[in-house]
Amino acid sequence: MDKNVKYLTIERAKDDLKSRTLANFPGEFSQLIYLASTRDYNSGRYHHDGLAFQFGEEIAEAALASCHQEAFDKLVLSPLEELAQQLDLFVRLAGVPSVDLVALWKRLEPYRLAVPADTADLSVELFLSNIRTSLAILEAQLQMAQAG
Amino acid sequence: MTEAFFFLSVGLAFLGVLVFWAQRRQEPTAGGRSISKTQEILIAVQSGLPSRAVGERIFALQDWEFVLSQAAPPIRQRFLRERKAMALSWLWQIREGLRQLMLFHKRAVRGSIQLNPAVEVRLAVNFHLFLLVYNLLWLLIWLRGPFLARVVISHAGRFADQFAGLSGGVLADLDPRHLQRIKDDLLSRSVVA
Repeated sequence: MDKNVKYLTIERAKDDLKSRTLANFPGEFSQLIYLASTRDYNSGRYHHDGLAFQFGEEIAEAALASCHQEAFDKLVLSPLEELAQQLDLFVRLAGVPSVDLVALWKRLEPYRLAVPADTADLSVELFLSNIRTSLAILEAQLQMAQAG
Repeated sequence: MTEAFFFLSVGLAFLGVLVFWAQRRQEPTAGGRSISKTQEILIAVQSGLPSRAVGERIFALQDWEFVLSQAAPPIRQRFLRERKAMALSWLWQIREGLRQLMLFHKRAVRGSIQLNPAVEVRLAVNFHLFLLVYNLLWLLIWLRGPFLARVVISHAGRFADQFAGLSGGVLADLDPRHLQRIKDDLLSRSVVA
C-alpha cells in the first residue's frame, strides 16, 4: 500500500475508533485504560475485532497504537488537577466501591500497564508520579467522606 | 592592582561583546537553506533531547499549587521530591543532547573548507552560555526545588535552541555521507564504551 494511502487509511480508522468506541467512555483516563487493554501483554500488539474486520489487522493495530499514544500524551501534559478529576471520574464509574479500587491501585499499581511501549522515560515517570499523587489525594478525600 | 583591574575590565567588555553577538537574532534561513533541512539534520544527529512540553509540565507551578491546596504534608513532600528528580533529569538530558551535538559538530566541521570562524565562535559562546545557565539552574533546583527555577528554564531553552539552530545550519551544508560516517563512528564508540 502506498505510504500516503496507508497514512490516510490509518487516520480514517482512528476517526472510526474515536467516534464509535472511545466516545462511549466517560473521560480521557477511561479511554486510555481501554486502549491499553486492547494491547496484548506479551507481544505488545494491539487488537480490535471490529476495526480489524473493517480496515484489516495491520491498519487496526496502527490506529490503536496511535490513539493510545495520543491519549497518553494528552494526559501526561495536562495539569495535575485535570488528571485528578479524570481519575476521580474513572473511580466513581468503575462499578466497584471507590475505597477498594483506590486501595488496590495503590498496592498493585495496574496503571503502569497504561503506558505505551515507546514512551520516553521521563514522560513515564511524570505520568506515574502524577497518578500516585492523584490517588493519594483521592484516598484522603474518600476517607474524609467516610468519616464525615 | 590597577593592572588587574584593567585586564578584568577588558575581559568583561570582551565577554559582553561575545554575549551580545551570540544573542543577536538568528536568520531563519541561511545560504538558501530551508528550516526543514536544518531540522532534518538535527533530528538525525541528536535524537536524545527531551520534550520541551514535558519540561514545562514538570516545572508547572499550577501543579504544585494544586498539591498544596489538596494534599497532606507527606504527599506534598513526596510530590516535591519526585518533581525535583524529574526536573534535574530533564535538565541533564538537554545538557547531554547538546554536548553530543557539540561533539558531532566539532568532528563534522574539522577540516571542512566551508568552516566559518565567526559562526564557530558564536557556537562556542552559545554553548558556554548554556552551560552557565545550566549550572545555575541545577543549583537552584537542587536548593529550592523546580517551581522556583521555572523562570530560568526559558533562558536555558533559548540558548539550547540557538545553539542547535546554528549548528544545524552549518551541518545542513555538509555532505550527508560525511555526516553519516561520523554518526556511525560515534555510535560504534559509544557501544564499545
